[in-house]
Amino acid sequence: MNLPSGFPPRNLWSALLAQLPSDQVRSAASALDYEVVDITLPQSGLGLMHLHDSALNDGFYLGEIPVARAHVRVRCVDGQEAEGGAVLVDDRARLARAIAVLDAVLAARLPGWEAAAKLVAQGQAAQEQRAQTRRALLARTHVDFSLLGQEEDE
Amino acid sequence: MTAMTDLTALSIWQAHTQQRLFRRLLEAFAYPGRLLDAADSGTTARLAILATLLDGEVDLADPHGLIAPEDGLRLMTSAAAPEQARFVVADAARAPDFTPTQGSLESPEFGATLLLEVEQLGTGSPLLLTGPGIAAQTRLAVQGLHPEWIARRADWVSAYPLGVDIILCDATHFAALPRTTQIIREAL
Amino acid sequence: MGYVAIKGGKAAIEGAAAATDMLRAGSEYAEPLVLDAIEGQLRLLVSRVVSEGGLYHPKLAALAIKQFQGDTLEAAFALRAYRSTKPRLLETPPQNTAHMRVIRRISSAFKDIPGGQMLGPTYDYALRLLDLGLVDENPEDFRAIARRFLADAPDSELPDSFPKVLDALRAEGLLPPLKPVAGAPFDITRQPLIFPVPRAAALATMARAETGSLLAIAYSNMRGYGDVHPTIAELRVGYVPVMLPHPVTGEPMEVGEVLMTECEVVAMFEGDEHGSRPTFTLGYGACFGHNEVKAISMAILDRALQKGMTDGATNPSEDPEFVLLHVDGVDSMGFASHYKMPHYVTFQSDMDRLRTTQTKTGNDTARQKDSV
Repeated sequence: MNLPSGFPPRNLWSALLAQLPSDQVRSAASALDYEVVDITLPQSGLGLMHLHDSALNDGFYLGEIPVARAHVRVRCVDGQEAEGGAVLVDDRARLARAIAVLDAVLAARLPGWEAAAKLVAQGQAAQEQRAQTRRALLARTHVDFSLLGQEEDE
Repeated sequence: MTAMTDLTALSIWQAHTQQRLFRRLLEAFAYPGRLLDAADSGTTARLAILATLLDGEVDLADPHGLIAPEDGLRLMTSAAAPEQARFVVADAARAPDFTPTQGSLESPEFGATLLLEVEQLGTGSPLLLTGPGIAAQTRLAVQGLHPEWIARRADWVSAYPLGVDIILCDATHFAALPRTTQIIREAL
Repeated sequence: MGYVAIKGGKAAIEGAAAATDMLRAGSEYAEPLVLDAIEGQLRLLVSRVVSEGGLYHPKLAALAIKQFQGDTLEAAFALRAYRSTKPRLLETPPQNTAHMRVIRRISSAFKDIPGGQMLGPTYDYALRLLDLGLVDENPEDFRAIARRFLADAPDSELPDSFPKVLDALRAEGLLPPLKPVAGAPFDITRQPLIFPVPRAAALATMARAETGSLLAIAYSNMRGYGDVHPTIAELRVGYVPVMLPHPVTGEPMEVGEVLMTECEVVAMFEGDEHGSRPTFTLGYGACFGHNEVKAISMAILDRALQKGMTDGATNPSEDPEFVLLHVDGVDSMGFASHYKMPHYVTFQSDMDRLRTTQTKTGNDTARQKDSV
């Protein structure tokens, strides 16, 4: 059972699923009817965003971002088990938990993984939409520095 | 609903249980030697107290391996050596083989909090306690506390405000011995 | 200061809360503001509030703007209060802003930069004429704007992110290489500023500073002290992907994006001694949200403070203590606002002291004019 080519790698799944309406993601996770064990508690809190300044390369903290995090073990009826995790720039801990469940199911191709894959693909489409909008902003405002009267030369 | 079953399995990981327990810890420290109950947390007093007190900004030493690995992950605290850790959990029946940190003059609050698990509180050899929070004197009966803890503690708290604070717990109850409490061990 | 408890304060205070809410609600024909509208149509206001609150949460910033009826100082205060209720989970590993998915990227110092210059969404070239067409905006026309923009956009092969101008200069040897970094940076949310502070503390403080305060002090520097006219090496606005380790695999995973503004300024620094070689000095500014004036001001002040910290301050903008202690909006507005709290006993004792002094010096005229 393989994921289609071009399917995003595992380290993008969290961010892509977070683009979808959260009820959609959470109901997809609970529809899977697995036993879920919290390896660490789903948590919502803050993270300090660490940057290096581009002038002198000093490390500094730009400020705080909301972080929601979950790490679960998922067990299905036939005994198959998998671990899943999610981290989000978000404050919804239960959404992170639902995404962690989908992460486990998809990574191990547990029964029901196709539904999770479909959601990731939807998230990817939403992300691509956003990227297109940003590219449009750049393309429309790209400065052409060539001098007047020289257009034919290029 | 599967999504929620495990979260509620142990209420010690829930805020309302931790807040309830925290208030009892405050009472324990305000009235040294008073026995407080942790049985309604659904697990051992030891784990309930650690779940209440610990987070990612402090560290814990577990030199006697009292915390199960799955619980250790859920405490979400970092590990440290007993000589440096802000919190130490230890088996009170064993003599201490380390010196916990006592803080500094600028930051005496960084002195360690020791959670010592005894066999039984309320029966056994009585400790006679006196000091702030105690009207004249009070007795705390303890079974399974190695006498070395009392002897070493006397050193650790001798340079007030530096010192360590101790919480004694058995399976269901706990009591606190802040650094200001004086212990006179009664002869049997 | 002694405060005396009175009856009736509580009722008046509850009345004040009801009064603000009443004004917020307006007439019976008014519609409540929708948070999406604030986040979308007042995006620069939201950017200011996430930046000054020190918390990147645009939705909560929109809520704060709605709740506090547009007062940016109060809205930033609300975000700071919110963040104080949340546990600290982690510090991210250093994030690479070269991976910023830019929406705007310009340089005023260098014309040809790798990847080119993209003005992005900016009012810099707009005529400041009020557009009366916005008074009664047709909702259908409004909703068609984005659709039309995207349809009209030329096909582009532009990448999402671009190398930094300064990095390109370093690769050419025109700037000295970056020194390596060590240790955890100063955390202004955990430690107070006790001077002298490291540059990391200055950058973090300015990143969440109140925009007007930062601008005013930076402007004082721009208007004719110190270095020759600084120029912007690069100004970028865009979304930086945040990478954190996956809980299971430990591999870096994308967890989300943060909109931020980043600015580097470069200037020639004429050395103090005659005949000493002029060198480049660099300044850096960065903040959450789309806040260009703030990032530019911060970069100017970064340069000024670097000079102040090495050569000593020749004007207030180069004095770290003057700058860093006066730019935080929550600190400054809090202190200004506290003057409104009852100081009756304090003032009464001041008056008594004044009267006593006047009597002692036999100042009858003052007593006649005293009609309090």
